[in-house]
Amino acid sequence: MPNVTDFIRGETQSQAGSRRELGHLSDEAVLALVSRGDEAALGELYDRYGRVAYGLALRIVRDRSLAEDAVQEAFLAVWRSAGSFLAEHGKPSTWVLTLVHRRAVDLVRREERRRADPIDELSQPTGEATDEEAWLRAQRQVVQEALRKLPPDQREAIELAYYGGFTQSELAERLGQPLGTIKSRMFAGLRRLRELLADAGLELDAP
Amino acid sequence: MVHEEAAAFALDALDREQTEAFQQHLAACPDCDAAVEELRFAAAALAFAVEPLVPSGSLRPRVLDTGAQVIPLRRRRHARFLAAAMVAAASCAVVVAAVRPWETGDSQAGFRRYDAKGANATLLVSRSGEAVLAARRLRPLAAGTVYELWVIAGDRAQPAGLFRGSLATLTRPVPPGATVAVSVEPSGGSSRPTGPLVLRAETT
Repeated sequence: MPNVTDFIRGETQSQAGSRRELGHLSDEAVLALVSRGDEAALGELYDRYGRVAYGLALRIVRDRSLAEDAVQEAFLAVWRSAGSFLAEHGKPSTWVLTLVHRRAVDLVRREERRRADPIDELSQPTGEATDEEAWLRAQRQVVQEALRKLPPDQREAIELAYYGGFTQSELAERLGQPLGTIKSRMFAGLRRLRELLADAGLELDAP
Repeated sequence: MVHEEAAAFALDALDREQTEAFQQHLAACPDCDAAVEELRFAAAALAFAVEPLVPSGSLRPRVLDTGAQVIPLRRRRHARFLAAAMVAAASCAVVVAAVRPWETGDSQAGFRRYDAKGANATLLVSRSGEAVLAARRLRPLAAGTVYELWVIAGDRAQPAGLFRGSLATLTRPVPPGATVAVSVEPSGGSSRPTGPLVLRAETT
């Protein structure tokens, strides 16, 4: 049970402390604290989504240092605008990863580093996974399975856009298709993906 | 009619000019706004399909340091009340009852707790009127709707922020004796309550 008096005294600066005090809060609650300038809450949010964020950024920019820049800039944006986000939108995890994605895409477009490799297949677990790792692995499996169920041309457009950082116009040129076709593929594919994820009961909050 | 570019926008597949144009369109089109939110969820889910990786240990302090540099000191002090209120609100009444922070004499941390009527929710109000609402198990919102907070004093209901989750910080102070209420409103909120009232909490 959290110790409120400790919290009032502000004894939440250490990483272990942040884990202990904030671990039971929902993402929304942690973000509300961030919006009020609570550094421990920012640390908690980083601990929840930092690895997914970094994995995503590295997948896009293909450079460790640039990937770290993308994550740092995204969390700075979280810190600055958590309040306005809370007043407007839905899931904190969606928002954080949207910011990370946008920074990574901005960086990669500037650096011309884009690649179009297929995403990594699910690797086999080695040894015993922690609860958190097991949860992430399960999420990963659900999303990858949903992706596999998309028609190939829709999947291709979505993966090149999201993981490759290509704009729709670049995709039209690259794939030799009219821009309207690319737009339709992305729209139909993303909407179908949303349905498949809903069917699978996907919740994207950290455990 | 949802704009076809909503998906490209959600995937960050528009160039700078197209993004700006679409953002202007979004501000004026609630249908697209709601669609983008749905599509964004699917797009962000794609992040979870990538192998999560542990970044170097120096990234965490970098992230936190940047935060510390851009926040004015006064706001950090102010954060204490809300931090205490959040923890109390998000855990359980037992903690609040056992500790009674408003009796500690610490005016920064002091707050009063009110139970809401109509839903399982708790309102915490500081002496200066800052308030946090923590609700449990509110009915899921239909697409294109949002919960809106109201501070009602006398005959006047003033908007106090929008939320969709279970916890919200009110954007305006709650004077003594005012009522805080929550209604369901169209996305973007309303200037006066128009939808069904979900809960109300009367302060003293």
